Amino acid sequence: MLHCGVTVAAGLVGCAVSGCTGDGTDPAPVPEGGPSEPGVGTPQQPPDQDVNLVLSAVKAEEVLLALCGSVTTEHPSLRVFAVPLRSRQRRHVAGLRALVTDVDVPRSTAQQRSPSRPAHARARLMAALERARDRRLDDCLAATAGPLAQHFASLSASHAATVDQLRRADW
Amino acid sequence: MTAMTALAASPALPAVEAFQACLAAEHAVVYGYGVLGGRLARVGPGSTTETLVEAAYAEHRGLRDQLLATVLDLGAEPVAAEPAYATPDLADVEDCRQLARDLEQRCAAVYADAVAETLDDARELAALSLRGCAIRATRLDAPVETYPGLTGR
Repeated sequence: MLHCGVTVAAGLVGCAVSGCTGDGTDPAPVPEGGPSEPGVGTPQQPPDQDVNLVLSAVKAEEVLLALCGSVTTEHPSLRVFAVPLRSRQRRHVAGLRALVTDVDVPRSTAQQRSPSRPAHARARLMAALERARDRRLDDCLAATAGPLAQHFASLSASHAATVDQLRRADW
Repeated sequence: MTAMTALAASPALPAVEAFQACLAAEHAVVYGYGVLGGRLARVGPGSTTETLVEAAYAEHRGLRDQLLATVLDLGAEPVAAEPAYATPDLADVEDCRQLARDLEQRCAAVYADAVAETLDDARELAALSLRGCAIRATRLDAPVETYPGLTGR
């Protein structure tokens, strides 16, 4: 399990109550001006924004995982890269979910069909990875808790290294 | 001679100290790549590794200079490089490649710490530097890590 910090994980769980709709739909939007102040007389809680960032990242990374699975299944010629990528992607999703263990985050049921031509499937996978790389960097910059920012930066770096590797590969 | 302890992951630090740690790490990395360049001129001239090491050396020198400027902007005196750093025996190209991978992975850990301790532009610099370390390590044939900069913690 990733060590994003017990304090952060606990804080994320604590503030999830007000940051998530709890019914499996998209997380509640963050109000303009940032996170809400903790109430008087209540223990200080990390802002809702961090919870929303994690929940939305879980969702996005699960979509990418589904695409990896689809490419792996439908394109044997791409398996040499898609299989380790899928394994890594599973760990990314598990690491994010571990940050909000007490929150009921529904598993994504999104089906991702891969394009029939391997070259197109490869292009789609690359585009999805580049998007994930950029979004996780955005998440890093938006995160309030330092350890969570660190987690997102590391995810972004992993995606960036994968993109670079695939771009250089003859596949 | 100082061992490359500057590359050891550090505990939580205020922003300026986080960047000083990054600068100290970059001093060590630049030194390490300098040693690698000299060694590869003997054991692997014209090799792919030599090309990668030359490119990495230039990139880390740029990062070092950027960090120097950042620390000065924060009103602090930039940490100086040690006169020398301990390096392992480098018998062949693979030894050189291994040291280069180690430098990148250890430097990534220092940048990961800096990400946690900074905000805004400073955090972006640290995050992009972490990304650069992960990419260079992969180009040196390290497997893509699930959590660059955080592995082994």
